[in-house]
Amino acid sequence: MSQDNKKVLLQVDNLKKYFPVRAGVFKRVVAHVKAVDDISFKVYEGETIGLVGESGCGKSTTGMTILRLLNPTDGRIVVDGLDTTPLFLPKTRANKYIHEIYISRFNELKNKYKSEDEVIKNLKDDVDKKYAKIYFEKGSHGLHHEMLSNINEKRKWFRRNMQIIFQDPYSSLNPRLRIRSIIAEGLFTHGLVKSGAEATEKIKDLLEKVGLSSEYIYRFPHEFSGGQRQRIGIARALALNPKLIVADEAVSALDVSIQSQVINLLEDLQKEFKLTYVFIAHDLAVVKHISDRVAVMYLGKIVELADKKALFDNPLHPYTVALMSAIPIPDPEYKKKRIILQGDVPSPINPPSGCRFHTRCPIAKDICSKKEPPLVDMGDGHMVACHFAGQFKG
Amino acid sequence: MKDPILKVNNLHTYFNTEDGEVRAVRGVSFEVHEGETLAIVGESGSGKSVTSLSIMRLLDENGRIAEGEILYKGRDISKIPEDDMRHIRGKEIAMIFQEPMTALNPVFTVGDQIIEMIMLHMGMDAKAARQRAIELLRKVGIPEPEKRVDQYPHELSGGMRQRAMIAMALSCNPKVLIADEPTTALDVTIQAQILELMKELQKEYGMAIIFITHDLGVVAEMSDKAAVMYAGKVVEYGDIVSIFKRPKNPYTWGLMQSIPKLNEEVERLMSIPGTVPNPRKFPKGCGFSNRCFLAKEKCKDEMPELIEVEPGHYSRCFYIDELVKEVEKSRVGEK
Ligand SMILES: Nc1ncnc2c1ncn2[C@@H]1O[C@H](COP(=O)(O)OP(=O)(O)OP(=O)(O)O)[C@@H](O)[C@H]1O
Ligand SMILES: Nc1ncnc2c1ncn2[C@@H]1O[C@H](COP(=O)(O)OP(=O)(O)O)[C@@H](O)[C@H]1O
Ligand code: SF4
Ligand code: SF4
Ligand SMILES: [Mg+2]
Ligand SMILES: [Mg+2]
Repeated sequence: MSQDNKKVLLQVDNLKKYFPVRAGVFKRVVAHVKAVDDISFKVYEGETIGLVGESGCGKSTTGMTILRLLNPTDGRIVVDGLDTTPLFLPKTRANKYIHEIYISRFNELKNKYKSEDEVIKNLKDDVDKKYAKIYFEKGSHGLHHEMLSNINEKRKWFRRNMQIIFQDPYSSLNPRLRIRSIIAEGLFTHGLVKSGAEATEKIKDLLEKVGLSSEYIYRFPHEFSGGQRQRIGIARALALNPKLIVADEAVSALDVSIQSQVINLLEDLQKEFKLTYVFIAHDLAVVKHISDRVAVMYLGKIVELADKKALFDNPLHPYTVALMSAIPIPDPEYKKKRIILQGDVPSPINPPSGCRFHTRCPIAKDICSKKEPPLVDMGDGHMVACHFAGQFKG
Repeated sequence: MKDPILKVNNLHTYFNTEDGEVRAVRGVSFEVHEGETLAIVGESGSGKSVTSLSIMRLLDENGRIAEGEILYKGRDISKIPEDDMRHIRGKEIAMIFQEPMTALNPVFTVGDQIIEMIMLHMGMDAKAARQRAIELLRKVGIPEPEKRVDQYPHELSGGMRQRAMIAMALSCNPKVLIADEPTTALDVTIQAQILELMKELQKEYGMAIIFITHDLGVVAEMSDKAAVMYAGKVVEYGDIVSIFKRPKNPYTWGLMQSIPKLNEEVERLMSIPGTVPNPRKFPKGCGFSNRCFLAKEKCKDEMPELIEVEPGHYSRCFYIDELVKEVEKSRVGEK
């Protein structure tokens, strides 16, 4: 499948998020949980990318970091051609970031290629090209200005366009606020409505859009069922007319019959508003249904990323194979061969050397504990990080 | 056949609320034998958790068992004093809660909480109990249990918290394990491990399991029989193969139709329209009548009885024959 002509909405490069582990009386930092450890991926406009993997492998952390609800430890997050990373850094760190990621790199490349045009030609990513052009035309000051001017507007733009729907329809809505206030908050913050009356109209529309009666506008969250609350969460996210929504286990807590209603709703809204979804879930049948592509994470890394059909029909990473085999099939007479992974789930505080899956991988060899396999394209955008991709069939 | 280890008989559980009485469970019956697994499936709010909390005698203050019996080894534990119940709870009948934070106290480390249980019920000293706690955490797949044992619940990921709670429930080798959506928050490889673990322990100790879940895949995999609940009542009950192969209740059938299947691509999922009725105003008739594609006038006014449609397979519906025709039609369509 050709993805070249599709527009990249979100680009994540070498993203890392480490949490400090503290201990002792003085609460000193003794180690770090490497919740997300150097992952890169692109999300195309209008697509749904599924994110699956072992509990604790860093899916939610990835989602929260992309949205800047957590600050990344390292890495770059580009949205719609805009590097949003420095927008949320303190001034000195932002300057340092721009220097390291762009200026010194551009200078090095210029030394190598001797010509600015050649540098731009040889840069792979559009964002890099864009910032290189600005740097070569307007110098270091110009680039800093480009990236850090109007910072408040840019932050707001980011906040508005990047939304999240949480897993828990109970705790994610403030119980003391009526539905109107819950949804109106963002509308006013972002100046999307001019008057209270306009907000009310807009919120009523939104409620109808997500399949709730507009009469519910003055009710409190506790008066709704889980599925209805999830619809309210969706309406709140939609209110700001976002480009991208991270749905973190957004249907997991719902009843099966309601789950299918909400999935259908998410799909309808995606078509209508050209939404892009990052869909985090552990139900692989649901992920397969809703996603265009699926990324499989293991211990803070992406180990496989492919079109869903390729991934489900022909998983190449041993972990993905095990994952697929573990899916419970709703048929009591169906007997399948299940691969129960052996060994402890390693800790993200002290991940195994080389390939992080080697402690549990059924086909691990010597090299696996020594050398980390990079995520490489095996053809048609089917990316795998394994020295022996495709060799374990279960 | 031996007597069931746990038998719930016509259980009614009601809550007093500001808006009047909520009849959350309205005559539920089922039984489990040693070594057997019963699944309870159903819409949220249908009374699954209230049923299990009634068995555990952990209902909120405003709740009461209004009618019915809960026979554990033949003894009705629905009315025994709280002091006696304390010896049963956790030791004889243990529960894994739907929401880990209801079982885990945020101000104590995970280890402290498990150790306390073990010391209370198994009479071990602190050191042995700590060792056992670490072993249990390892068994449920928590990495570096020696370190995690001293962490607070909020320092664990959602799935790890769930596993910590499972370890706590298993800590005293209970005879009956009630698992209220124990793997809902988990990814499938860990789920497979935990299901496998529960099956192993079941084999080893003959533990009976009541497994509450909305994942029909897990139901099919784990259970010997199932009770499908809707609006406070059991609407279908029987062995697992009959229920999946020959569903006899429109709700069960709708549920099976709503789930995405790995081996089928569909543009759009089937779904049951509407939502569960509010338990404050359950309809007079069949609880499913506002959503059921087969509903007729009669369904709104009268409550169908649970009747035996084939040996050991029960359904609560006036129009089972019509449903059977629909099921057959769609099965032909599939082929
Ligand atoms: N605030 C925090 N402090 C310390 N460690 C944390 C914090 N938040 C998350 N972690 C750790 O980061 C790792 C990744 O957690 P994350 O919540 O992203 O997992 P997940 O993939 O979403 O898992 P699940 O499927 O269980 O929700 C885990 O080891 C977790 O314990
Ligand atoms: N403490 C309580 N007070 C009032 N109503 C309650 C209480 N606990 C549960 N209920 C109600 O009882 C019904 C059944 O709840 P529950 O058993 O938790 O459903 P589920 O099948 O999802 O586990 C619900 O309508 C719920 O709101
Ligand atoms: S690199 Fe080695 S250990 Fe890692 S998944 Fe591949 S075969 Fe297994
Ligand atoms: S009794 Fe009527 S409403 Fe209830 S399940 Fe049967 S057909 Fe549907
Ligand atoms: Mg998570
Ligand atoms: Mg429940």
